[in-house]
Amino acid sequence: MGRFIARRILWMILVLFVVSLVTFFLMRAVPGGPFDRERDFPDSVKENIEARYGLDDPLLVQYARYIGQIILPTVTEPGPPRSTSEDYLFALDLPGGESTLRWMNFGPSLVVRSRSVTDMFRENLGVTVQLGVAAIIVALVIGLPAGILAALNRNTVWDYLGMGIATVGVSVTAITLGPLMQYVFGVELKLLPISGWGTLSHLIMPAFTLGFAQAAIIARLTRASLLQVLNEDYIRTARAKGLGSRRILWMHVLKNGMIPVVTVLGPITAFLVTGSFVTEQIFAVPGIGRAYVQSIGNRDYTLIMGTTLLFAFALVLANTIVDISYGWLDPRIRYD
Amino acid sequence: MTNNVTTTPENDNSNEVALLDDPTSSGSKGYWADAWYRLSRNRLAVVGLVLIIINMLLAIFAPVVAVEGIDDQNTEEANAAPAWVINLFPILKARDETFDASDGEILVETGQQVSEGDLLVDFSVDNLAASVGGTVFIDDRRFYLVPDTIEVARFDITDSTRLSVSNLDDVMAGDTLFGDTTAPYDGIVHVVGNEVILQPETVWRRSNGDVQVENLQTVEAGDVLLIMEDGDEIVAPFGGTIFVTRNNVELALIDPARVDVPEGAEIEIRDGREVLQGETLFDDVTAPITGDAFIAEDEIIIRQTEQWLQSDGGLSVSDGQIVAAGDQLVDVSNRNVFANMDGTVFVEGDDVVLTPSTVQRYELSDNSVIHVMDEQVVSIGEPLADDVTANVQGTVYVTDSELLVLPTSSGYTPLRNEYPLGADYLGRDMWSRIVYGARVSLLAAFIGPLVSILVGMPYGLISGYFGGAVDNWMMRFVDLMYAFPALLLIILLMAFFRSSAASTQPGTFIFQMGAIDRATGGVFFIFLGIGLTSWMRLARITRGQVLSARETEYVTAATALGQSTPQIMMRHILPNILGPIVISETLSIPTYIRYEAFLSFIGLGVNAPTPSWGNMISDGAAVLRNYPHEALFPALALFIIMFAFNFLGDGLRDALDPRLRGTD
Repeated sequence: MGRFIARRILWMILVLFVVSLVTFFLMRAVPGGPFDRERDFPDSVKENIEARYGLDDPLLVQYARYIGQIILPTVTEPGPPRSTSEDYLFALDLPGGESTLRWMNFGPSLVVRSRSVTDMFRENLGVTVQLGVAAIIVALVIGLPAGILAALNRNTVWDYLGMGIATVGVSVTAITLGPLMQYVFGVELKLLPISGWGTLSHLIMPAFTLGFAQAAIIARLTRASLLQVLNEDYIRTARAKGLGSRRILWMHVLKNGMIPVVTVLGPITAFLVTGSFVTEQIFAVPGIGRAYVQSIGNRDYTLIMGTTLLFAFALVLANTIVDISYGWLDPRIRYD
Repeated sequence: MTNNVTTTPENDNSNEVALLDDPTSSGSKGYWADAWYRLSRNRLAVVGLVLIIINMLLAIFAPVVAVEGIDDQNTEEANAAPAWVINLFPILKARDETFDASDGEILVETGQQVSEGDLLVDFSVDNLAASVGGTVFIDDRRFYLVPDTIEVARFDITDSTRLSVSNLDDVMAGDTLFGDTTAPYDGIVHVVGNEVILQPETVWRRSNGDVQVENLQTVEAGDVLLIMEDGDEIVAPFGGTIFVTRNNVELALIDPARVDVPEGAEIEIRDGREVLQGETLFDDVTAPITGDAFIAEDEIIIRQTEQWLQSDGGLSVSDGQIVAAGDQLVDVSNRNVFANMDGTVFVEGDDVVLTPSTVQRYELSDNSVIHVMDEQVVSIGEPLADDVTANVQGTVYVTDSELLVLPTSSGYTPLRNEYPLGADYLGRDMWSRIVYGARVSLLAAFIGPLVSILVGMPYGLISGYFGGAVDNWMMRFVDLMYAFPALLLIILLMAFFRSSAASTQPGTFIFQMGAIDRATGGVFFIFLGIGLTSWMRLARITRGQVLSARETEYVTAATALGQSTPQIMMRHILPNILGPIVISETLSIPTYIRYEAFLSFIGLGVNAPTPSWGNMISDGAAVLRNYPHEALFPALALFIIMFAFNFLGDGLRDALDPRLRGTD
């Protein structure tokens, strides 16, 4: 088990490394740069700016410096960061109060001059995480009961209704559901704010937009998995033993039937990532997804790298947790 | 009775060996035919298939189906919506409509509530019926009615007839019309189809001669009317009544209406002026017809109108046509104005305003104190009458019994127009753009799987067939690619392709790809990006299938027969693992469509002005508060195609692999 986890973590690091490498070189191979949009500088000014951000060094050197800033912890004087180039995500005051251990510097934003990528993480990541968690809650609260209800009442109206809605659910994308909800609840009924961020009421529509499709996936998967479990021999055995149907449902069916549902955590995270790009755009939510889309257009190299790594990290972390929890939930699976 | 056992071809199949890779040999139906049968029994899948086919037809025949081009801008119609769309979305309040009612009869009064279809302005009062039967003549300014008491000269001609006159020429009696046919009387030539019709001359200028007749005199054909300076006489071609005006001598061919005036009657009209039908002439006698009235010694003569100025359209007769008394000469009821929505009517002079907005009303009593003037503009809170204040901004109308406030029409409400789904913010036809947008989504649905299969299937085949270290490394690479956030990679790849294609020299391969991309409105690189990031799933599935197929007897047999590796792969393994591959790719199609829509939505997809449902939704979402239809129609289109492919995918999975029915 321990060896398995260690191997998965190593694998995670390798993936992140490759993601960073591919993203970095692909991004730099794209012509145009972060300073192209401004009015024409004299070449000397441009050279100075590029030198200021180290963009004139060989690409490999730049890459190594970038990765180094992220993974190598440094010890500096305590206090707030001196410049946007030295803004570390984690800071730990060392005993004695003389120095601070800092880790993970994602560099300054090249387009929004006064901010560092770390700043943006601190401000926007919380928003995206809140939205993501709310979306998962929506997905589970709708998806699980719908799937269970459909499976236990197979081939009844509940089943057809639930699965019909689920097919609708996987067919509505964020860009279909978002404007529709904005229109119905925001424009016509005036129940919820159309866009923006800050209060709980701002969270409802984006979370539902993001979570509904996943609720549909979860409902379908739950139903399929429960139907399989209901046919297992041990359920028949439990019935033969004379166990109450309620007890069979909770102790045997649901416990075993939930295992495959855990596996969708990985795809769901991917869904949340891609969904957050558009959902944040639709509802003007100041999250990482919106920052990422903007950074691509702006060629904000550091922000592209930072957000890509963040999303990739979320993905591989979710997949790793799924892999590990899978074996923990289902003892038949062996790690090797 | 002998037990006659004959084997018919149908039940002889048990003896044959079913070859898995040869569907025709397995007797009843092949694998695919069987799957097709099952698919066609699945109602939802058939619905999906039909929807997809409709979409494909729309996409293919887009230039025929779409009335407008994708970039035909008509900014005057920006954000416009047809009536049914306005009714569908309560927020799209129709703006006030103003109808011009000049020359028409206004049938409504200020403050009246009307429903859609109600007649507001009636123009049929201007309709004109023939007072007597006769022939209608039309020239470039006027039209005339010659009564059927006159025998109008008509001559049939053929295409080969050589006319000596042309249309609307003045001719004298005896002039040659064609061949040896001469004009029987003075008149104007009308050439209509294959007839020459001679309209009698009835007006002569006084200044050219000496008038021999008196006003209101009745003449017979042949009576001398004028003696010209050169001694020529002008005789009346037909009998009629003479009217001598300031400049002309006119012969009225239609008998005028004559009303006897008893002695001592007090005539209320003036000589030579027009009277309207029903107008009092004297005492309790009214005019029987409309026309110029002339007062004679013991009667009033009302001249029937014989000629009218042509106004804009509405003429329901043609030149030379013979009409009966009472036939419509002019019919302008097609100009009648009907309410195009429910609302309240306001009459402002010659204009009729129809507003769908709620109108503030206040009933006036006899001792009400009114604080405003008619047509005064008021703002909210301004006192109107008694202690009532305005609750909307608008214009006040005071009628006898009521005080109404017509709200100021909000400036952004849409127009009505002929576009079936309305127009977007640049005035481009939404329907046309949605139809053309279907092309992009359907291309995603076909090119996505194509690239994915071209890359993923050989990859999986090779990996699965060779196994061992090759398999291990190839699958590790797949795992690595799998961990990439797909949309991030697509965005990066696309940006990379586009900009590198733009910066290469003409003639190179990359430049060619860039040219294709530009020609397809940026679609090509999106699909390349989507395909290149989604083959991993297929590679894994193919590998898994190959791994199990490799262990089967038929592969062992093929190996024993000495077949080469490519032969075994292509002829034995591939046909047997095609089912799961098809299922997998069909189920992935909605994902490809979604990726394309997402990319276009966030502005990284197809280039403007190429329409994609994604960028249409994006444009529409910007004005959602005022014009929700601009986002919701493309969103509906996207939903329908996703829905169709999901149904088809589910149905195909159930059909090809019934064991999987009901799973995910």
